Amino acid sequence: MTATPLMTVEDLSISFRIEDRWCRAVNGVSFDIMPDETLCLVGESGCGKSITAMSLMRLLPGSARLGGRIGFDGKDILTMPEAELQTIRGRRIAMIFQEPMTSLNPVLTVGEQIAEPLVLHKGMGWAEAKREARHLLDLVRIPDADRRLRQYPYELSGGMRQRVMIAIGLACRPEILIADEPTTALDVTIQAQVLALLDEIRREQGLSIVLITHDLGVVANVADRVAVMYAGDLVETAPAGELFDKPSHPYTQALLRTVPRADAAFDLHPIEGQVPSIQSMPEGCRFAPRCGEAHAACSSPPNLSSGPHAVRCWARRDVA
Amino acid sequence: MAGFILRRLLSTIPTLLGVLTIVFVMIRVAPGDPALAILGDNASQEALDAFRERMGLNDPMWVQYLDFLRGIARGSLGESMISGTPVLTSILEVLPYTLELALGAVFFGVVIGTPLGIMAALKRNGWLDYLLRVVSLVGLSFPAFLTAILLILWLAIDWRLFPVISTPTGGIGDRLYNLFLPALSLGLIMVAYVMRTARSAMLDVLGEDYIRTARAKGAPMRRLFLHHALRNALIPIVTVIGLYFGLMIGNAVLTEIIFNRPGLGKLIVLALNQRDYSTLQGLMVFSAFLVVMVNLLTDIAYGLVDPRVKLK
Amino acid sequence: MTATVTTPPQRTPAQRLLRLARRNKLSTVGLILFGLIALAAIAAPLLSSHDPLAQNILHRLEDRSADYLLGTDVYGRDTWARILFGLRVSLLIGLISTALAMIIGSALGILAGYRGGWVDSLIMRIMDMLLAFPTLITGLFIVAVLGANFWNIVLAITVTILPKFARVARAPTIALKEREFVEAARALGYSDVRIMAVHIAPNVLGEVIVLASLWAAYAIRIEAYLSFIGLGIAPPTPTLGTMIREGFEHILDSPFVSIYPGFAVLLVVLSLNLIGDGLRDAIDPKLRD
Repeated sequence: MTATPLMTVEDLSISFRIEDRWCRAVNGVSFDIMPDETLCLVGESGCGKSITAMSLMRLLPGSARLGGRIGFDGKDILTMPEAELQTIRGRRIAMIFQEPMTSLNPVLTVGEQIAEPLVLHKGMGWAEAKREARHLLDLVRIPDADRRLRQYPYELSGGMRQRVMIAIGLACRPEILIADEPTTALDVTIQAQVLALLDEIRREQGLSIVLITHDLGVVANVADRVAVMYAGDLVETAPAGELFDKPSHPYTQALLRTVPRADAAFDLHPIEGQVPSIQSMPEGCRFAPRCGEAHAACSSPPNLSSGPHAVRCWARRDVA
Repeated sequence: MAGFILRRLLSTIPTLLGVLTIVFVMIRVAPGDPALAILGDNASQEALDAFRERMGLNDPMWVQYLDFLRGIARGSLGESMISGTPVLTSILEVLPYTLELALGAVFFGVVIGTPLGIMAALKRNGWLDYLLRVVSLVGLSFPAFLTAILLILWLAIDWRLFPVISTPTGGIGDRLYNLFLPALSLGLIMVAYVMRTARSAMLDVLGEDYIRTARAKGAPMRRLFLHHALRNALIPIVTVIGLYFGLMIGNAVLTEIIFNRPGLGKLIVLALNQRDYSTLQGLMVFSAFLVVMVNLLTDIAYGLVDPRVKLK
Repeated sequence: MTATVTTPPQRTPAQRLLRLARRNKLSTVGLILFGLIALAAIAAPLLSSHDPLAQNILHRLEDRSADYLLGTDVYGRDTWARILFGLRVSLLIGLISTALAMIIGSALGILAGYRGGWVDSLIMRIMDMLLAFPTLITGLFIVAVLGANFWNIVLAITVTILPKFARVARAPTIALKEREFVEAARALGYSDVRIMAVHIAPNVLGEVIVLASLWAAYAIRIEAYLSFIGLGIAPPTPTLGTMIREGFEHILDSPFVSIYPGFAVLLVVLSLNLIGDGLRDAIDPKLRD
C-alpha cells in the first residue's frame, strides 16, 4: 500500500485516575487508517479498543489523560482547540456507538437528529436538512421515510435505531466512520443486515471504516486490515487474509481458536484466565501470564515489529 | 392524550376514597362533642339537640359516612357548622388567591432555580458549585415565616418597595405588585429545591449516551446543554415541582397569615379557631384533592416534555 | 472499558457512616453545629441568668444588653433564655417524632417489600393516601382535631413523615430479598420476622438514617409552624414558633423579638440538613459527580 494514510495514530496512550492513581488503559498504540478501507480493531472486552476508538475524535471525558499524536489532515487531533474539533466531528469523522437504544436523544424526533449535523456543518436550513434526511433514510434502507422522520426513537426497533445512527454518521459524507461494536446489542439476524449495509455503503461512498469488535466472524467478513489489541497493547496487525491464514501472536492464535469454524467443527478452545486489571498490569509482556509459550524473555516488554504484518512478541520476531 | 388523562383520573379514585375515609374517621374520633364545642357549655338541651339533628350527628356512623360520600359525589363539601355557608363556596371564593400565590412561587422557583442549577452542573466541583450548594442548603433550611418576616422588614419596611399587607385586588398590575413579595417568600424554598434537582438532573443527563452522540456530531457546548440536555433534565424538574406543591400549599398557610392575605390558609386557621369541624373536613378533602390534581397535571406535563409517556 | 476495582474492606454500617461523615466537610460542620445546639438546650438553665417565664413589664421590648443578651419580649421576658428553653421543646418533639416515624415507617416499608402481594398493596396504598395531604395541613388537622399537647403534636408529625420512610425502606428490601444471604436464611428455616430484623433491616439502615436527618429537619420546622399558627404546646412554655408569632405582632417596634427565634429554627434545621446532605452524598456519589 503506497497511498498516504487518512489518519496516523502514533504512540497513543490513555490513562484514567482510579483511586488517586493514574492507570494506563491504552499503552502506546500506533496504527494508520488508509483511504477506502475497513480497519478492524479486535480484542476481548476491557482491552482498550473502545476508548482507543473514542479518542480518535477526542470524545473521552475530561478526566482521561491522553498522550501521543493523532495526525489528521496535517494536524493533531489531541491538541486541537475544541472549536476546530467541532468542525471535524460529524463532518469529516463520524462515529456510531454500541448501544442504539440509548445513543439517540429520547425527546427529539428522528428527523431532527439526522438533520442536525447538516444544519451544524453544511449551513443548511432545517427544512432543507430534513429533505436531505429523507434521502439518508433511503440510503440506510429504512422504508416509509416520511413517517419515520416524525417518529421518536422509542417508536423504532433496535436495528432500525442503529440504521438511524448510521444515517446520522453518514449525513455529512465523512472520510472516516468509526463504528464501536455497532451490532453487539442487536439480534443475530439484524447484526448481519447492519454489517452488510455498512459494507455496501463503504463501497458506494468510498469512505474508511474503523470497526471495533470482539467478533472474529464479523472481522472475517468485512475487514481489509486487522489490528489486535490486548490489555492496552497493540499485539498484532496484518492484512485480514494474512492474519487469518498466518496468525502470529499467541493471543491472536488463541483468539482464532475460540471461533467456531465449519472445517474444525467441535474443537473450541476458550482462552484460560482473564484480561489483567489496569490497576495491576504484568511487568513484561502483558499476555505472558496466559500464554502457553511464555519463557524468560517475556518478563520484559516486547516491541512491535515493523512491516505490514507486525507482531509484539519475543518468540515471533521472525514471521513478518 | 385524552385517554391517558382519563385513565390517570380513574386511577386516583381509590386514593381519593381513602382520603375521604381518613378525614371522616379523624373528625369522628375527635374528643369532645362538636355541638357543645360550638354552642358553648351554656347552650340549652333543646338547642344542642336541634344542632345535632341538623348536622346529622344523631344518625348511625355508617349513615353519616354514606351521607358524606353522597355529598362529595354531588360536588358538595357540606356546610359550615357556624355560618351555614356551603364549604365549597367559601373555598372557591379564596382559592384563586392561594393558587396565584403558589403559581408565583413556582415561577420564582423555576426562573431562578433552573439557571442556577445548570450553572452549578457546568462548574461541577468548582467554587461556584460549592457556593451554590451551601446557599441552596441554607435556602431550603429557611423556615417559611423567617423568609417572609425578613423580606417584609427589608423590602417593605426599610426600602418601601412593596406593601406590608398583600391585598390581592385591583387591576392585573396592582395584583402582581401585591403578589410579588409573598410569592417570592414562598418561592425561595422552591428555588433551592429546583436548583438542586436541576444540578443533579443535568449531571445525570450529561453522562447519557445520546449526549456523547451529540458531541460526536460536532454540536457546540451551548447547543449540547440547551438543546440536547436541558429538555431531558426538565423531566425531573417537573417531578420535583409536582412533589413539592403539597409542601407549598402547606407553607402558603404561613405566608398568608404573615402577609395577611386571603386564601385557603387563612380559611383553615379561621375554621381552626372557631372549631368549625365541617369546614375543616371540607378543607382537608379539598386540599388532598388539589394535591392529587397537581400530580395529575405533573403527569400531563411529562407527556409534553417526554414523547415516551404518551403511549404508556 | 471495564476496569476491575478492588472492593473496600467490609465495615459495619455505623463505621461506614462515621467514615463517610469524616470525609465530608459539610456534614462535619453540621454535626458540630447540631451538637452545640443540643448541648445549649440541655444546659439551658446554666446558660441563662433569667427565668424564661419571668415577666417584667418595666423591661419590655428592650434591646440587647449585657443583662438581656438578645433583648426582651413584650412581657419583658428574656429572649435568650426563652430560645434556649424553646429549643428543648423543638428538639424533643422533632427527634422523638422522627425516631417514631423512622422505626414504624421502615418497619412497614420492609414488611411491604418483603411480603409483597396484598400486604404490599395495602400498606403502600395507605401511604399514598397520607402523602395526598399537603404536608403541613396533615399536622394542622390532626392537632386541631385531637387537641394541642405534646404527644398529639408528636403524633401529627410522625404521621406526616412516616410514609417517606416506608417508601425508602421498601425499595431496597425488594432487591435484598432475592439475595443469597436472605435465601440462605430462609432455607435455614429462620422466621420471617427474624430475617427482616436481622438480615434486611441493617442493610436498609444507611439510606434510612440519611433520610432521618433530613426529615428531622423538617419535623422541627413543622413543630415551629404549628406553634406559630397557635397549635403548639400551650403557653407559658416557651416554643420557638410561639415566640415568633408573639414577636410578629410588634414587628415594627422590635423586629428582633421574632427574628432571633426564627434564626434559632434556621440554625437547627440547617445543621440537620448539612448532616443529611453530606451523608447522602457519601452514600450515593452519583449525586456529586
